[in-house]
Amino acid sequence: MKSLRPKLPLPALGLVLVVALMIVVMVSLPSPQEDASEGAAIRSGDVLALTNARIFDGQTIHADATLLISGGRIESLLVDEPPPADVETIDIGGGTLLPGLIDAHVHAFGSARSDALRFGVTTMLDMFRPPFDFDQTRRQRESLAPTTRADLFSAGFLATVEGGHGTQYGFEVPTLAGPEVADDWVEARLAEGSDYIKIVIESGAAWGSRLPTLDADTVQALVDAAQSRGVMAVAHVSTQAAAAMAVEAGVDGLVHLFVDEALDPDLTRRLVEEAIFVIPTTTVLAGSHGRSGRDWIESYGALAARLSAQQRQSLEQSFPGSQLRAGRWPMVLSNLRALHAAGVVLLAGSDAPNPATAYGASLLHEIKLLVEAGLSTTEALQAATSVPAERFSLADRGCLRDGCRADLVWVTGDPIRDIDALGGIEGVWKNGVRVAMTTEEVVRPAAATEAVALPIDLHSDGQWTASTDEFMGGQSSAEIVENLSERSVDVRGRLNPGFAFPYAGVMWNPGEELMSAVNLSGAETLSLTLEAGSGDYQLMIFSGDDAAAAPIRIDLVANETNRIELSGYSSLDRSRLRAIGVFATGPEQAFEFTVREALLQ
Amino acid sequence: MNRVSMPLNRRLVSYGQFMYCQWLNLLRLPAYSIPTLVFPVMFFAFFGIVMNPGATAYLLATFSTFGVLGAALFAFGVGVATERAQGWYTLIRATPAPLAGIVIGKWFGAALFSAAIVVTMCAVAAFLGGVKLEASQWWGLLAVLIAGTLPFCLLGLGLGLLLSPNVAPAVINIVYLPLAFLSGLWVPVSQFPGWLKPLAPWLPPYHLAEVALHITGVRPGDPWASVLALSLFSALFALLVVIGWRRMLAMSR
Repeated sequence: MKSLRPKLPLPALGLVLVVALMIVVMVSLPSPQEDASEGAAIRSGDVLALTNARIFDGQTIHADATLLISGGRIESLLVDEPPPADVETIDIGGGTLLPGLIDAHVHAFGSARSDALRFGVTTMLDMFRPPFDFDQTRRQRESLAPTTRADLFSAGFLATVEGGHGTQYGFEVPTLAGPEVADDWVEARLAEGSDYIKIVIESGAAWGSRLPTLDADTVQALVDAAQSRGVMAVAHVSTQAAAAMAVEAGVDGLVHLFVDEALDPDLTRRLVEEAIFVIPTTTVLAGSHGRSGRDWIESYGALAARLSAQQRQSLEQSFPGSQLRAGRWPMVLSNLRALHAAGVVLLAGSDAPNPATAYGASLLHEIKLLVEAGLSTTEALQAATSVPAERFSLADRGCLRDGCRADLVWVTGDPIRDIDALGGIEGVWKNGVRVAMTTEEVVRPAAATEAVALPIDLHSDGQWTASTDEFMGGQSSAEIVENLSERSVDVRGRLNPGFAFPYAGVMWNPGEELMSAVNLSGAETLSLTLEAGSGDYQLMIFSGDDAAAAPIRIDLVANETNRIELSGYSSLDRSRLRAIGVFATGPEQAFEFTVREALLQ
Repeated sequence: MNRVSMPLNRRLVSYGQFMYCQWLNLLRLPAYSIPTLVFPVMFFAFFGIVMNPGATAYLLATFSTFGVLGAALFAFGVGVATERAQGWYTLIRATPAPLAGIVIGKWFGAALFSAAIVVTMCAVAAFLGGVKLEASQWWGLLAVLIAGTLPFCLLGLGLGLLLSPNVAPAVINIVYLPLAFLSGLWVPVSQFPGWLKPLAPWLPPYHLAEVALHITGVRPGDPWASVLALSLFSALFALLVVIGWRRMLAMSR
């Protein structure tokens, strides 16, 4: 035994080596890179002068002004003064500089933060996302280092009940069983790094469904628990009754405008008197009432070109049944007008990436809609800059004054005169450094497989199968009653709760195997006739490299011939078309429908 | 036990020798060592990188828990049962060597193995799966999982002392694989059917995975409930060890 040590034999050396190797590997494991490193060179104390500009400082407009930026902050705003001679200068050419915009209602997933930045949104107030990276997002927003992403504040998990709104997205959400756990719940969120508390009061009533939701006592307990810890409490509502409950509990703000009935003057009065702000999220409400902002965004070529695949995907979606609710839209809009006229504080928020919205781009649309609802252009811009900064205590954001963060947007026109000038964003600076305006995505070339000849009668060979949300963990059912070759397919079934957005119906598969990709790149339009009773019906088209990718969802009108221009959906990969589904969607009910004359041409 | 106690320094040298012997044991039985090392890593590469590229960070925590669970159970359970049957422990009892050295040596082997598995998985996750964690998180994961072998070492030791060498591998496998699955180490508990979910918190690997998930930032909030649960399980398994130990001493007498 003794002889083991003096010699240090081979096995002992091996042990030392193994341990050393493990240490080397551990030390070389990568850490999340701060964006700092690559921009370090631009960093220094260099001053950048933006001259010959109209500057909206978050409150008012200054003509013929110059902005000096250094070290990631605004050094000074010079009005009618010559810019210093010996600094790097960019001529704004009579265009307008705005503070970096603040989107007061988003759910920041995936590439949200870089996608939004290309549209001038430099700060996002998230209203529900899992708190897995809050140490990192907090560090990044405190830093002045150059970055390619917008800064993020977040509510973290939302307050809801088991099975309530917010629990349907496939990850665990800590729910509340009653007022007695509110204190602990809020404490836990703050420990996770939530910046404010979001409370969901959603019975589903405004959307034709029924959901369990928090009761008034629990809402009250949550608001008290948040505010007693110096944190804001905001509420998701969709009905006036829910809004009244939130106001009664003393929330700081509502993160949606309700949509179910005409505004009660008493509620308006309380919103004004108690200085409760409203983030109407007009753009997402418009989308859910059949008025997508897509056309407005796409009417600006430069904006459209900047959309990433993720942005295009969400923008091209539509809410189930949105067309059927279109009749209610004038009331929603007049409620918004009345709120503004009464002096309720409004904040701009998009609720991206819900259907019919896109990160960043939809905030521009939101500002446009606020102007349509009666805000002056200055007020609407304030609602996306200084007002959210003030209400959410974001001291150095939403402003272009000395000491503010050098987050800014350059638009070539004058949005004060014409709000549509927002479509002409020329440049964005984040932390004093100009941001690349193009997406780095590589557009995938079309599949090289041979294109299938058109037109195709979808009934010719009976490639229809029943399909439901069971695939997604839901419990709806469907069966094909009759599948007449070259004529029609008749399906019946039942929508059951279980999946977030229950659906059931039939699916046409172009290939022999389910969901296999077929090159149908020549297909310009899809037409079909849907014979059905009342209810919401949607077309879902699955395409692309990944069979599990989310489909395009398009509303269908019952008892009419629907013609869908496929070329209008850029997130659709017609060279890899996998399936076309016709589905009943919505709350629990039995359904029966017939699809006929389905034709791809 | 009933012998004259050894001076501390001699005792420590003896422990060191037991640890070293365990290393030799691993080195000389590559047919055991290499599969035990490669199996969980391979499993992780398939499920955590190839199949679920989006969930790599989550699965890193659960699959490395799976890895150390196996290392601890097999080193102790099967190893102890075999060596006991070979009369190796009776022989050691006849020498002045401290009997606790057996346990310390085995623990060293299990810890070394666990470390190797965790480090390899971290490397796979980082360099093939693109996972990035703070240095404190990487080291924290390693530390938690090495320390977290304790209840499973005790469980393995208890089983190894109580089971005959023929039965041990079968029983350990029956404990090991369902324990891993039901604790959500392969598939997150949130994906389980509703009736199966309540079972997981009653299984120790679930709690070790919870702590590991906390370290990697997936599970926010306090991990202390899980740490407490792991301590209770350790106490429970220690009781099993005491029973087995007494039986061994009684039988060899």
